[in-house]
Amino acid sequence: MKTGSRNAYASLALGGVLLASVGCGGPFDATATGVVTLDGEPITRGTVSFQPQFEGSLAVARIDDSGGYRARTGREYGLAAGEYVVTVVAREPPASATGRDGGPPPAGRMITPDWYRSGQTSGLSFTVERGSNTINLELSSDPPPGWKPSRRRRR
Amino acid sequence: MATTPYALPGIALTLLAACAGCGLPGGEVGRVSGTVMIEGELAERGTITFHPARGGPAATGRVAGNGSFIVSVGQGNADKPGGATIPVGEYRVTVVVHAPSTATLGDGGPPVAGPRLTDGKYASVTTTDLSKTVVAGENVFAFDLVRATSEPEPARAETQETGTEALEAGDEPAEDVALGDAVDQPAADLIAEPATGQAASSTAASNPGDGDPPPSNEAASNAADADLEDDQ
Repeated sequence: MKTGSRNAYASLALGGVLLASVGCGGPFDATATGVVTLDGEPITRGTVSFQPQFEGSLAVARIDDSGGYRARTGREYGLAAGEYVVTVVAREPPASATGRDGGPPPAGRMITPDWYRSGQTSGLSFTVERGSNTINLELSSDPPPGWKPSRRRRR
Repeated sequence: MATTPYALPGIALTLLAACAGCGLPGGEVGRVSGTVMIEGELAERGTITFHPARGGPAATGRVAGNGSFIVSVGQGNADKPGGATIPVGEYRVTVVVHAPSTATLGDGGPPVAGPRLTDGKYASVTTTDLSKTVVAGENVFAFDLVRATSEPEPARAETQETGTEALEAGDEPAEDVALGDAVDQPAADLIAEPATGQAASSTAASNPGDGDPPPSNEAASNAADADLEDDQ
């Protein structure tokens, strides 16, 4: 009986803490980390985006030089638990710092295949659970079925 | 031991009370943070500005190395860095991301700004197509921007583009119907697309005979994609 009431208070306190952190925009209730590979080799640059399939904010991560990533929402590490579609975009650095006439450099060559750019074609969907999630993104240079390279494919 | 059950909710209440001081008084203001990307990749530097539609001081923020930003009016909340809030309401948003500087002016002169990496339309409040509604509490916005073209700042050759745009727009209806989209999509396309068409054509124009055609094709398709992503 005594233990039971302690547990009740403990969960009340825990609930209060969770509520407090949500209200403060502090730590989100989940984290997502992992390694990004293309055909088994780590990708060592680029950006991972977690597009929420619910009313929520995009979570992003820069891929580090060992292929690892750690999702962030705005300024804070972490993200809301829920369903996400993941996209990955990585390019080589631009060949030169500036383009012609001092203009912007042309974008570097794409490292990741084009279908990973869009949530509709990436085929990467995940459920992020409360707590810590390890989500390794194993990309392949084999196109998904039905993929047609078209610059106006999205509509 | 008997006090323990009371200590726990006490802690919770204290935390809740502390949270009330999070800089959200009266629900009139919101904290605005987020990320800036260029065609799917996080920006590494830059400046973002929220211009209130009803007038008043603009809120600005620096884009950090990890692509994130938080905006404030002036110095924001000096007591609590990162706790700055701005009034709720409609905002137009401008963003400029420059490449790192690679040169200085003369001997020890100031560094020359690197070339702008984001499309010029985002630089001015009159041309930007970015707008956001700031609500009370937390606002986390992600912006995915179209890359600037290699041309320094081509005058917008609208008439020259019209032919191309009309053709491209003409491709749309069949796909739209197939996807069950609204019938007015092509019209929206005509409004939204000129910058993309411009990006595609001027990139292509600036790269002929470079011996490096992939970047130009890619820039074109990327520009198109990024525009589409904005519509999601």
